[in-house]
Amino acid sequence: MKRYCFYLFILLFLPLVPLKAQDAPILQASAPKVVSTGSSFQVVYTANGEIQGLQAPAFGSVGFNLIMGPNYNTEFYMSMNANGQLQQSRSISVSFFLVPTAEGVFTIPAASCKINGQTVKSNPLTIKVEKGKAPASQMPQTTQAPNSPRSAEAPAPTELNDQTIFLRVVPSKTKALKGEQIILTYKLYTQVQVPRYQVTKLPSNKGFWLEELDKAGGKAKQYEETLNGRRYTVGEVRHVAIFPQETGVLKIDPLEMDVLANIEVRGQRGSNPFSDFFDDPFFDDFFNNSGFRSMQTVKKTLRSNSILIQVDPLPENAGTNFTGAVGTFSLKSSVDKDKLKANEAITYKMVFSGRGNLMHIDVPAVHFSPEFEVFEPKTTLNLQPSDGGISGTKTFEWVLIPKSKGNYTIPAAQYSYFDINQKKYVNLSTQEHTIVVEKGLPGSGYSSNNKQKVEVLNKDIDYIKSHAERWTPTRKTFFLSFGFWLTAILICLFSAVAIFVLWKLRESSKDVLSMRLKKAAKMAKKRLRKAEKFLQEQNIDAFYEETSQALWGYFSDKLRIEKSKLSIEEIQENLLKNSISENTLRQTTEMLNTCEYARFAPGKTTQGMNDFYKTCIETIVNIENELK
Amino acid sequence: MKKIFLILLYSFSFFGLHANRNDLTIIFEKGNKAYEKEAYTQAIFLYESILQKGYENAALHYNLGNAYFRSNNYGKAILNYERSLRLNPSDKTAQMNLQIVNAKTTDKMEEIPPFLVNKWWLSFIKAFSLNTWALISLGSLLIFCLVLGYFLLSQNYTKKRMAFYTSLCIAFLFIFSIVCSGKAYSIRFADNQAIVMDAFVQAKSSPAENGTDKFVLHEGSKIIIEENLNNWAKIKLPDGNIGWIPESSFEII
Repeated sequence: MKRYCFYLFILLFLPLVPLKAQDAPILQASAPKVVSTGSSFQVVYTANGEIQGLQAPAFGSVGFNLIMGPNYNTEFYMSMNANGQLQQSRSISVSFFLVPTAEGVFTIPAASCKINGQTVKSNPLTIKVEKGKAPASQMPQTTQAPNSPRSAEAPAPTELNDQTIFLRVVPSKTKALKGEQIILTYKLYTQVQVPRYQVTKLPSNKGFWLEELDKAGGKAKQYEETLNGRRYTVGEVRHVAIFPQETGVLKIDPLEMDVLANIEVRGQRGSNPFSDFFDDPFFDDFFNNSGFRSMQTVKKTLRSNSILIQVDPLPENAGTNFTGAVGTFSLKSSVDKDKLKANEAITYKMVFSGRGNLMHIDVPAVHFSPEFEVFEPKTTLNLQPSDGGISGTKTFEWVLIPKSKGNYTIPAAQYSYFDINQKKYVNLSTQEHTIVVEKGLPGSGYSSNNKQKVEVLNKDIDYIKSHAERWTPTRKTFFLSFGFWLTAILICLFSAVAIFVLWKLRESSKDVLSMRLKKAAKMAKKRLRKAEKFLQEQNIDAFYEETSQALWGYFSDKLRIEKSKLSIEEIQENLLKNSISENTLRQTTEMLNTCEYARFAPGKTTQGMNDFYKTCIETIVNIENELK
Repeated sequence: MKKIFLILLYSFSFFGLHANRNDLTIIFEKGNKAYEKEAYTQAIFLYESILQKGYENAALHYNLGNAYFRSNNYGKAILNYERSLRLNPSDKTAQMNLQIVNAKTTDKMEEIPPFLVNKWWLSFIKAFSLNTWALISLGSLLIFCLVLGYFLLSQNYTKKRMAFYTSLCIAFLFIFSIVCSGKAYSIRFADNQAIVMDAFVQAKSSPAENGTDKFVLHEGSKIIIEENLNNWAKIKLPDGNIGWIPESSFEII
């Protein structure tokens, strides 16, 4: 019944399948080349069309026992082609499970069948049978009912072991250069249904840069594969691209995964009431084979194998602008406009595209004109993971603001990478861009002022001093030194001495002056002694007479002029010659005039007489002092 | 008598009467030549040989700082710029170079800015070198003596009064310049400031190897030494942190 359902299923889908009737029908026989005695193996006849009337060879006559088959199996493949269209293809296979009966080399003759009405013959198979250990676990599950739908795929296991479900990691290459992309495919081989799986432990990617290739929510690719004579459903559960960052032999640790697997459990008497009645090997077989089997979900932890990858260093002759990019890349540059006004923004774009470690492409050095205000470049990484590995683009975008008008050139930037196909370093270069900057509108842009500060491009220390200053003993100074104290004391000492000497000198000259004054006064009093006598007697006429006589006599003596030749004018002239002060000269003239006038003038008072006497004394003292 | 003569000779050595000064200048110029040719190690050797002879000047320390900077020895560069500034505190180029080297060191010290008045006072002191301050002191002393003499000897009352007030002012100037010289002297010969020479040094909580690590200092950091004990120094950072580091890890400015 179930088999009919299966065929109905095929029939339903038949119209969708693009019939490959035009293709030459092929019947391909496949089997392991070497098998061991005691263990079963599978012979599969695969055709690219409906198999009709398969005439299987007589396996028994060539040294094999047929233990199961023929099992029909149809596989549908859905795949996407380059144009994005879905394509369907199918293959129909018929399999036989055989057990060798003896050691030796045996040839299975060709089978024949009709495919799309044509009679086709398969290739014959040569199989070498060796003596095998034939462990029990490798025995096929012969108890399985031949009409069970599972039997069309594989013998349904009733327990989970390393043969029925396991995880393998397949690297795209085991020998790579540093930075070269390697794709790891984690394959889950199973002979049971796996409704769920979950990665529990990711391997540490020491020495690698790792990039996941699976899209989130994407479905694992599934297909069937025969391995060691067993058919497995294979799910590619994880794809990663790795980029070795170190050289040497690098180990990729196993990946751990929890799976939930449905296994068939037979002979569960407690759960099957019929078993109580038919507790008998025959019935036991009967019930089990008739589908009285329960399914059980079992959890199992799987570990993938660990693999070793030999990473070789890149060749030595790397250029200066190589930063570790490995793959196949191309480089393009562009500007969004080539004519603009000063203080307007322009975008300069550099796009790397290709396959390889795009994430390791650094910002290439571009020497922009210092007249450009350059902002930090914006980096956009667009990775497109696919089964073939990482490809995509990396874009660097600079915003530039020219500050003044002129014609500018953005020079070509160089970037070198290691080309994995050509196995050598390749230098990529952008093209040059010429930009015409016109005068900006006043007040436009970010700076309205055309005057600019002198920009400090780089800070560096000033140059050395060439002039040798005065050398001083280390950690010594003039201040508070002996020389300092000495100088200070000497200044004080010399000043004190100088002041003292000057003061003393002036004091002594003061004494000489007073002596002379005393002498002069004495002499004047002597001359005017008679006059003084008349002054005390209040004899006015006699006083003036005597004073006049005394004064003329004094000047005659002093100036050494004869009395008869003496006149006021003569005295004045002579005193002037002797550089007498004007004050004293005036005093003298006044005194002589007063004296002459008073001798003959009436109305003289005693008061005037007294004053005149004092004036005369004073004048004579002054003349004595000044004439020396 | 002989002793006094020696002291006199020694004291006058400050006025440049030594015969080997020319030799020093020749070595200095050789060092400059080496620096021009970017032979910085040789330049350092020549400059250091002058210091070993026991002589220095601000330009020598400045050039030595430059040579150390070019050989990426930032600790020594800072030390020599600081020493150059000790000798010539108003040297703008040395100040700028010191700033550039400081920017290259690992430790960014947040110095607590001094009070504004204090800052003015310090920058006023640093406007002149210590020698200039000493000469100002002696000069003002000399002028004071002259004015005092005039005051004592003058007979004119008005002139005497003028001389009196002038001498008062100059006496004040003398005292002020002595105070400034004293301050400049204490700045010049402060031996509690040091520069870390090791690439990094761990400051401990006690003066012993097994003390707890408190903080890590890197080459070129300026530290203040508070106390010395058994080849360990108690240091204080500008932010107030205190720790002990071995004396071999720094050099006093």
